[in-house]
Amino acid sequence: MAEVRAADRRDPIDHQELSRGFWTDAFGRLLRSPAGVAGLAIVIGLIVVAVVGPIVVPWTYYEQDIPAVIAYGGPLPPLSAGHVLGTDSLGRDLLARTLDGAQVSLTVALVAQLVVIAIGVPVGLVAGWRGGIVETGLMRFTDVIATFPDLLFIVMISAAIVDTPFFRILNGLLATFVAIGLIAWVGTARLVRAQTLSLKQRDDIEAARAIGVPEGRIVRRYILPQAMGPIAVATSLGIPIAILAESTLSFLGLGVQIPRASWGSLIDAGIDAITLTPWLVFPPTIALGVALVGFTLLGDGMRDAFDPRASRRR
Amino acid sequence: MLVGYAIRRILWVVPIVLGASIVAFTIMHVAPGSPWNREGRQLSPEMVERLTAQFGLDQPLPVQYLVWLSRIVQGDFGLGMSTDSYEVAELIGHAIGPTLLLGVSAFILAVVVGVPLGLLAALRQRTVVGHAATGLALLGMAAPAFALAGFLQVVFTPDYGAPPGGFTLPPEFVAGPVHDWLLPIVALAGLPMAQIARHTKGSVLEVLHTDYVRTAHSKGLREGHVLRVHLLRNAAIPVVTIAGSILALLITGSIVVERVFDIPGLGSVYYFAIRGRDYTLLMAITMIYAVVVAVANAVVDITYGVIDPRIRDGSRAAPESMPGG
Repeated sequence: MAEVRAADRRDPIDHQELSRGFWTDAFGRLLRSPAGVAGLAIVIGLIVVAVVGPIVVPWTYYEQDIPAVIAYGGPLPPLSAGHVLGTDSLGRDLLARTLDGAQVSLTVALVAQLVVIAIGVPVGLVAGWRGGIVETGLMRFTDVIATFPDLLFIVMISAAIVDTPFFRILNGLLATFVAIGLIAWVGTARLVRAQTLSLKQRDDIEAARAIGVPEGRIVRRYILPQAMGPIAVATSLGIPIAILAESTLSFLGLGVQIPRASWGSLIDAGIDAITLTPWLVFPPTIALGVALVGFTLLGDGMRDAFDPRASRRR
Repeated sequence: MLVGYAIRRILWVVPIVLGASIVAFTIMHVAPGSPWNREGRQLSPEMVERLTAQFGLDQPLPVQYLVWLSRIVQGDFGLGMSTDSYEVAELIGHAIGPTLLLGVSAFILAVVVGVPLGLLAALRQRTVVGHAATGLALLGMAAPAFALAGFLQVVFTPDYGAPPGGFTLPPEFVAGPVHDWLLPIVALAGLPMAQIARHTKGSVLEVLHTDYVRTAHSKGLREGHVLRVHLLRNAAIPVVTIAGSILALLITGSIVVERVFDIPGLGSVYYFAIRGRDYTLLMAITMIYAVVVAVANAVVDITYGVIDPRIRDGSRAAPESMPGG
């Protein structure tokens, strides 16, 4: 139990530490949690590798090194000259393709979260603030979507639009953002609604209403900023889910389309060619695992940093 | 009181499933394109017209939905839309067995490994064992079904050349039940196991720091007694609530695992329905999943109501399941 008390003593909230603003405090708490720091380091590392990697690697994700494949008599194994991780049967450099997968995954994760915020925050705000039939309608619809496994809806949307010209924009990237965003907003909407409901009853908000501050202004100036912490947490916890959704879609052939690479489609190709080129499956699998762990740790760290109650018990 | 709550909760499944069916039906039918005008399957315009009329795709959407609904209610899943005509119900009947076996086994494995792992991580915090348990749970987070499946395929199969660091097992071992069943079950159980472990850890830690556990300790009650009576019972409540999300993970995972290991289950059928844009089949399986998930959620809520009376009184909402469910 001594450990518990030591943890309490470290808690800045209990200790009335000098506050330097909400975000600075939260960021400080994030940097003090080992999981948060590890997650942040992995995520920053991934971003750097995804941005710098393709510049450093002499091959692009679509280039085929046909002469080397012909000279070797088949796809190059790892540690071949010029291809550190080897090539696939078309002579494409596996390192370059895995790096492209990193770009795709990170892009999808971030943009899909933007779609989630763009839908979830307004829905939650309106439902929580208006109440009544608007709230009932919106939240029942949310319930229906939330009951059903996210990923199945996402797969269904992608399956429905995979043959359309819309799907081919940006090699399926745009459709993937939209499919994930269209379903994943429900968690954020519920969270923002709950936050709005509890804030609505606070004295300062009631006072603002009583003196006739316009509704839109109250929501923008008082409710939304207060809800930013939980939104940030939900967003970071949503990123690994979006990454998983994207790679599952691509694995099923419903996500990112050739010639662009995704970890999901690379794993799919690796499994297809597993007898001939077993090395293909490892780099994308490991990359995906590292990304999932990194973002999960960061999400945990964010949750603890923004929710002092949660950090005290951990 | 409890019975009333249970009945209300079970009845609530009906609008949920209906809602899900409307959303799914709309998504699939509003989108342009049909199963018979895509690449590699060019049919003559007359043929397309006839098929469209035969499947009622020329009707207004609400009419199509009602026709579909009235058939489904009578247990008629209709004919499949891909290459050959077949009874969807028959196809699903064959596929459901392997999937159930795989899913239930993976669920048991995930619980049997995940719960003790979470307990260890929480109760032995800041020890080597605790860190190892936390690390293992984290490793599970990195192993979605398809990644783990591909990995296991390569590592445990000798014929695939010599992968770096790979084992080689005797061929009869590989061709036998271990390869056929154990690897898919492990691949499917990885992520749910990690989720259960993480949730158990968080829940136990929360209860560990409550006043009543402190009181129990300070009264001098034996460690084992506190653990059993005060800690585990209360910590179990939030863990029960993620059962619905775990089921969701198992369903989506099975699609991938069945494809990787060539298991002729519902997941494989779903995969081919997607690839073939077979909307009848896709809707049928989607509805099976929807019913299973909705019923499971209802059972979870009722179980929760049994454990915690505040839920069924409506004085407290059931805790939200984890994101991604």
